[in-house]
Formats: sequence, structure tokens, C-alpha cells
Amino acid sequence: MKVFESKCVFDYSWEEVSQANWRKYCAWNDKASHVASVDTLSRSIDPVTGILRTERLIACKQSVPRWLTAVVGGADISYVREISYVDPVGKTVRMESQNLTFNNLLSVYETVTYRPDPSNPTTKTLFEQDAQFKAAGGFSRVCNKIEDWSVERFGQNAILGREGFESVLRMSRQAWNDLRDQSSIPTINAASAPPSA
Amino acid sequence: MSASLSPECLPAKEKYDACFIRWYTESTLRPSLPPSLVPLQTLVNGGGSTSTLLTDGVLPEFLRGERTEDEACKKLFLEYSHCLKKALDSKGIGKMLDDARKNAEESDGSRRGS
Repeated sequence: MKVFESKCVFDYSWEEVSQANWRKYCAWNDKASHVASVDTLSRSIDPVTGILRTERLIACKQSVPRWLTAVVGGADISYVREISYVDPVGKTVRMESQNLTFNNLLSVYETVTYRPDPSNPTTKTLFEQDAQFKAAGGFSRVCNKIEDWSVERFGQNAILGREGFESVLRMSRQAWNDLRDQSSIPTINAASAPPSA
Repeated sequence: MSASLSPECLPAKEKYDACFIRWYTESTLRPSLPPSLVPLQTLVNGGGSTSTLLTDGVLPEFLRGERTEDEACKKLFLEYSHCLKKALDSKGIGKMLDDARKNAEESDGSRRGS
């Protein structure tokens, strides 16, 4: 089994990040062309804890290497089931994802959390990501190769994911500020605005 | 917003997503603003919402502990979900999901226990 981990801080408050997270795969994100669709399967709020639970189905366009297409066949779309929990009191967003397609070959279990950055809890958000890859089957050399490829690929996608999400955050704040200009509301968080590109 | 698995469900999905985001955004809106200045309007003006300003002391719904989704959103979700279910079944994804849910329940127990 191989593990991928990454961590970063977004220059936006947890509230902003938690909202923009629902728009992560919208047209503002030009780095998510591999995401073909995102559908909400179920959604509920725990009456005791107030935690919002959402189950989504995400379809991704495949781009597997040629040596692997022989194993997985020509399927060009893979499906991922994602469960997210938003805790408005503890201020955390936690997302757990698992692949539904090719899981007889490789299982990927990813966890992402967003919570206020402990050193700047009101203006910054800490992002933590962890993914476990486990190739199934008895051919250890092939399995290792599949796991290595997956971790490498995941790392590349993680960078794109961060960049894409940054643009969604920037556009969300821009939309908010435009709205503010129309309704004479004070600027928010100018001090924590991201460096302009 | 993002596309739907089934193009024919897209109109229903878009209506529901807009409703949910409005509810969620109004619920968690910018804590750096005094509540009296938080507008009741959506960020990206989605579908003729009002531009009324909330009055003093009214905190956004989700963060102030609102524990039910908007009734209007629920109704839109049912329409969307009904459409989606057909698409899931016709593509054979319904069964994959059921299996995944079953497996997750089993491993949830062990993860939560640790």
C-alpha cells in the first residue's frame, strides 16, 4: 500500500473556503477538466450535532497509461463516491472519497479536511489531504507499478486541484466584492486578500 | 456549476444546486461582516432572489444552528433525484453505489472504533 499526503494553507477564512468548496468544479475552475460531472446523491443534517452530510457521485475522465489500459480496458470514465461532513460548530469540512470503478484492481481512499489555520484561525484555512492506494491482486510487480503510477498521478492532480480551487476562491471573493459595490457594504478582509496574479 | 451525469437531469440539478448554495451561503456568510450588513442575496445573483438586507442580530442559518434544509430546496432535490436515479440505474451505477455503501458501513465501524 502507498500513501500520499499533502498540506497547505489557503489565504481565505474557513467560511469562505467551505462555501467555495461547493463550487470547486464550476466553470471558474479551469484546472478540473478531468471532472466530467458532479451529482448529489443524498444530503442530510444530523439533528443532534448539526453536521451536514452530503453524498456525491463524481465522474472523472480517465487518462491511464497505455500499459494499464490493457488491464482496465477501454473505459474512459471512472466514478468516485464522496461523502462530506460539514461541522458548523467545530468548523471542519471533511471529505472522504473512494473509487467505484476499477476497485477490483486498485482501491483509492482519499480524505480531505479544511479547518481554520491554528495560527490564523479567522483569516486562513488549513487544507490536509491524505490518500491511500492499494492495488489488488497477486502480481506484486504489476501492483507496485500501479501504485507508483497512481501516487505520482495523484500528486500531479493535487497541485492542479489546489490551483483550480484558488481561482474559485478568488472569483467568489470578487463576486462578493462586486455585490458589495452595488450595495455599499464594507470590503471584507482586504488584509488577507490573495496576492494578485 | 458542474455538469450532471445525465444531461437530461441538468436543468433539475442546476435548480437544486442554486437553491442549496443560496441556503448554505446565506447560512455561513462572511463572519467578518457584522450580521446587520449581510445581504440576503446570493453571491452570484441566481434567479431573481431578493436583495433585502438582513436586520440586526440575524445570523446566517446554518451557522446559527439551523438544522433543516430549506423546504423549497428539498422539493427541488426530489425532482433532481428522481431523474438521476433513472440515469444511475440505466448505466449500472446504482448497483456499484449500493455495494460501496454496504462496504463503507462495514469499514466505518472499524475506522470509528479506532
